[in-house]
Amino acid sequence: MSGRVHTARRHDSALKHVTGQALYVDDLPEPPGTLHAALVLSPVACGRLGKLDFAAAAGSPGVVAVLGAQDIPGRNDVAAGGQGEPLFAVERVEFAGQPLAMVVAGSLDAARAAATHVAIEIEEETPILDIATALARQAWVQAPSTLLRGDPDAAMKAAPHRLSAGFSVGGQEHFYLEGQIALALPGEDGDIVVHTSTQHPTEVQHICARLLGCDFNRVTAVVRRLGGGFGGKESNASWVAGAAAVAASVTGRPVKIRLPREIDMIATGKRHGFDYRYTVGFDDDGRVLALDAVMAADAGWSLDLTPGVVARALTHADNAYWIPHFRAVGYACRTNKQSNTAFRGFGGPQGVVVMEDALDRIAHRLGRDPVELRALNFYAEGRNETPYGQTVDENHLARCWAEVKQGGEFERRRAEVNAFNAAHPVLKRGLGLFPLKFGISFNLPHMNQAGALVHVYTDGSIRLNHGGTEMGQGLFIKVAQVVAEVFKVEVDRIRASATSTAEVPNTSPTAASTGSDLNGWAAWEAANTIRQRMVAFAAEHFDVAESDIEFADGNVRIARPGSNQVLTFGELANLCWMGRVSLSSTGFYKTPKIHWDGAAMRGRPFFYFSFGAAMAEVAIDTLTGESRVLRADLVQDCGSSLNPAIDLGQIEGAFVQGQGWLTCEELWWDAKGRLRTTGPSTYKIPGSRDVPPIFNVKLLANAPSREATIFRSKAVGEPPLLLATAVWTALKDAIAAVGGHKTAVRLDAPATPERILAAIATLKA
Amino acid sequence: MLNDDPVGLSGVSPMTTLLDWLREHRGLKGTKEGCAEGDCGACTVVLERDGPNGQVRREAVNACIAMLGQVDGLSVRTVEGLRGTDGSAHSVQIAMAEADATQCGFCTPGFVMSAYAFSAGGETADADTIHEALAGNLCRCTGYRPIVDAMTKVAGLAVEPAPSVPARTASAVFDGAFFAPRSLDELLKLRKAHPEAMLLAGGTDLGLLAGHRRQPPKEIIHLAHVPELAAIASDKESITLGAAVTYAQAMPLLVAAYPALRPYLSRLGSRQIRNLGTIGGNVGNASPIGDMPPVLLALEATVTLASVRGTRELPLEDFFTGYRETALAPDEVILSLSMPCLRPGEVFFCDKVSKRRDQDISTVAAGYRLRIEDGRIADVRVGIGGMAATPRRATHVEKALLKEGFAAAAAAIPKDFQPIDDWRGSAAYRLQVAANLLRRLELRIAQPARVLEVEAL
Repeated sequence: MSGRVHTARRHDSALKHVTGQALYVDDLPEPPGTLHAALVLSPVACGRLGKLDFAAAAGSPGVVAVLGAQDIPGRNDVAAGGQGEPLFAVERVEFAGQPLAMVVAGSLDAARAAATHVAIEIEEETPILDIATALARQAWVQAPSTLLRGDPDAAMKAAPHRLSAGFSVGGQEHFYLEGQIALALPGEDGDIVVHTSTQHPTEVQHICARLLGCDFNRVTAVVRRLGGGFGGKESNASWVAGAAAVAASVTGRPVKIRLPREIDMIATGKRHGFDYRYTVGFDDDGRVLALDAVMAADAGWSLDLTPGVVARALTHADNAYWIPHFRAVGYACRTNKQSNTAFRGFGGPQGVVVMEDALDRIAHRLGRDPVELRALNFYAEGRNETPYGQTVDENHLARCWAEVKQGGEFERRRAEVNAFNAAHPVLKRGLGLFPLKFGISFNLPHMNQAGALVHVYTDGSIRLNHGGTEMGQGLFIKVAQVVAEVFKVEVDRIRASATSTAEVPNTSPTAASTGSDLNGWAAWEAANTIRQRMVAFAAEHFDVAESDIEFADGNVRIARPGSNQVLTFGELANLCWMGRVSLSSTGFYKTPKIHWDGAAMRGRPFFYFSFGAAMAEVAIDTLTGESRVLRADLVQDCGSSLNPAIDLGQIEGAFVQGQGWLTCEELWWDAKGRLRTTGPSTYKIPGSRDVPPIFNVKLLANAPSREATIFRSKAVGEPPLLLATAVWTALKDAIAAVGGHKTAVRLDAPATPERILAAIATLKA
Repeated sequence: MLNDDPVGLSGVSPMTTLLDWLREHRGLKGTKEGCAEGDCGACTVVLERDGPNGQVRREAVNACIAMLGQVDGLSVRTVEGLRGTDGSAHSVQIAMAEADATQCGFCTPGFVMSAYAFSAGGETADADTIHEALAGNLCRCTGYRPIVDAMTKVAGLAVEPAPSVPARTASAVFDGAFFAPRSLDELLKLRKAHPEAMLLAGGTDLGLLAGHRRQPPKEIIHLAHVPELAAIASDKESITLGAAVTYAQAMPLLVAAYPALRPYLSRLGSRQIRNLGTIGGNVGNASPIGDMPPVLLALEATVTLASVRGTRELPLEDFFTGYRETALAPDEVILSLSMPCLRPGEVFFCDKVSKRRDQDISTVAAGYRLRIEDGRIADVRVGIGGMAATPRRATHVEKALLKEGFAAAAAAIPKDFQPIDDWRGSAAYRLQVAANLLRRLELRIAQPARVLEVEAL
């Protein structure tokens, strides 16, 4: 019996991936007459939009239509949450790269060539390009929000020690290898089917319908797989699909839109960069008494998903630490840049860095070991309520910390690193440790729901559909394992089909690490409903008690006194059909226990917390600022993992992605606000050599989730990305070694060679 | 040849990228477009061509920037062409799947093809070689560890014999616009007749026009099949490389002559780039951020230009006349580059600083050739890139090194260079790093045994 829960099982598409047979949207056969769309983007960051002259573009070879805001049949708004985010700009342009129109032509090359011939009149204005300017002008996309507990002002005043500091972290391009793409197929009565690379099929459906001015039931969004998402194909995939739907609707022909890498990077949102300023009060032992922090996010030009990102940043500013008096004010700064969006971690990574920076500074101020100081401040019995009122009742912090220190031989290596630093003229090594607590659930309670649809056929094969999308994270195999467990059949008997709004409606995005938590339970419910019917029928049919029916190893055993009768699962399914039993069921799940008051910023937003710990060792070159991660030791809590092989892949991949965010991945806009890092030649994600040569990853053993998660497993998509914070801490440790660890150092992220050299210069000055 | 089948083409432009042709014309959708600029490797295919001793060389290349005309007469293998006649997956494919080396799978076919070329090359599975073989492929999901594991398993796997590659000996013209001469004489005549045509050697820069910019050149003269340009010659005194010699072909000789070039060249582009790209092309496009010019300047390289009027040789520093401008006359081509071998007492070092170790364009690149006599610098040449509109010699630095020492040389950097700010680094950073690299140089000379780079730890 293979492929049940808690067993390592390969990604269901692995063989298709390696043989090139896995089909992505761009690989689907194009129906005859398919047209291709190319976007026309604003060349300037800010200004009043004048006339768009389509004449030359419309007359270009192969062009079928040039479409602007006026050609959208329904409402020109692709906002995911709020409103006022047009598909094509009207009256104003707000960032360099904002879509203004699209050219639809017989070939992609013809469309792209014609797109350059749209004459654009814009009365240019001075853009806001950084957080500081936006803060100074009180330019927000939403009002500031405050997470407050106790009396931080009084506590700060009374604290024996105080210190203040500031730093910033940059954004991050998702760099999914498959760019944004959609293929819209018009049908009868104005129906549209959209093959889309999205994490949020339901939002694609809604936004297409909004743009077309039709009912939701006219639009079907279908997703077999994504070539990577990471949050970048949540709201951004919706407007790309919406553009295809508009073009298909207007022309009456199939339309494909595929954003070339450069256009994709220029036109779509990224991870939010943040600026921080904080004051922390602490006692002689280094216990934190109060935190007062300003966390200012670069939202870009519009709201998009920024409210959620800021809320998650605020609710993760405490990270693993008990902070009796707490104030964090989150600003969502409006700049004339791409509208920043979801990215794995969703504000969490930008939240936890505050206390990590503060604790390093406190340690330097008091002459204490920053590793001990962290443990001293951990949440613990009697000190276990988060600033937003949720109790940390399951707490693996101390255990993860001990395991990572022991596995990483912390004491020995600390001594080794110090000895190396004392002896080497230009290279310095550093060690950094990071404890992780990450809240699992969408911050908005209503999003924590999922549906599934399971059919059992009369040969015993099973078809599984649910609202989650497969973007490489192994969701399909995990959920299939859940269904296999319910029926006690080989996982190969289960066929997961493409996610579709026509099969499971009103779904939440596959995001916030919740894919297997939500869809796993929904599929379990659907499968279990069928199983119950099969059991009830079999009990009646064979005249035994329901408790005498046992599913095992692909068979069903009917226990009778003296002799057992064994049927295959398929035989029972066929019997059920003969007995007119429904072998199809939906399943539905909503996460229990959660509630959240967004205005007061209090409640229990998270069903549970995921824990972990990391230790990283780095080396820096004080002449060039070059750095390298030499080793990483990780411990990650996955509860009782549904699939340890898949989870290991998530942990390793997330860590390296986080490492990239904090080190080599730098977004660079020129003085006019034009993004100039627009492809892999200029925007550098980690390569294979950047992975720590010693990379020890452990799933926390014997740690079933205390809450009733699906088979006591825990989410894994995002939390391990935050473990890479240890790399940033280690880099600061290495830099501080230049100054003999006398002072703490400010190191903005991404810690490029240039920033590391600049940080070193502050110590030498 | 495509996946063992002979292919004759008409009605398709020779400037079409290999990737577009595979996907749109041949329906082979396994090869993916990730960036169209030769940097992500999702489009990696393997070229099979005749190698030394009757062997077949298998070289990973980026299909997104290779033009169809370039692969005329070669054999192309794609991810679909690895499967057995019975449809079974290749052992390299199985190894990747079994190592859990795929997640979203979009980059995977490219990795598979790089792994296949690595496996077929019979290389050892040490970490450095594996990373070098993977430097041209980006994965955003896995964190690479399982891919590297798979690479250790595919090393040395038996690889079936390659098809015999049809050797084309005749010159060719496609569409009256893509000229592929087979002799120098013919090339020079073509050059004279078509001074506006773009010269294509490996196409790793020119291919961007077709792949990324979607504006392929109107006329191309392809240099790769001209024997004189593909020639490599060396003796005790010097090395001469034909302008169309690829990095991959030149590397063994260059590394033997100048050992410091080993890590430097293995960081230049990626294998996909080095399998097509040429040193002549790197010099000819005169980019201020090319990696070869700084070291060639330090090595006192000369460039030989040829035209129907004859040949002329000039020092490389006289070849670069301005930002992407050269001394090349409209009727000339670069014939070859020559550089003297290190003479007794001479040492050569080079440095490259970039945001990412592998496959990144230099923020600052530098080459130094020194003659040290009795612990003193008796002669020195320093070439630096990324610091000016052209790769340049650092003449003030050289003087200071000869007369005053390293500290003075570092202080002289701003006299030689006034760099600009861009996404690779600010002007201030570039100046600081160029100066600090002279400190690294000093330590290298004073303490040759000491590890001085983080990569060596």
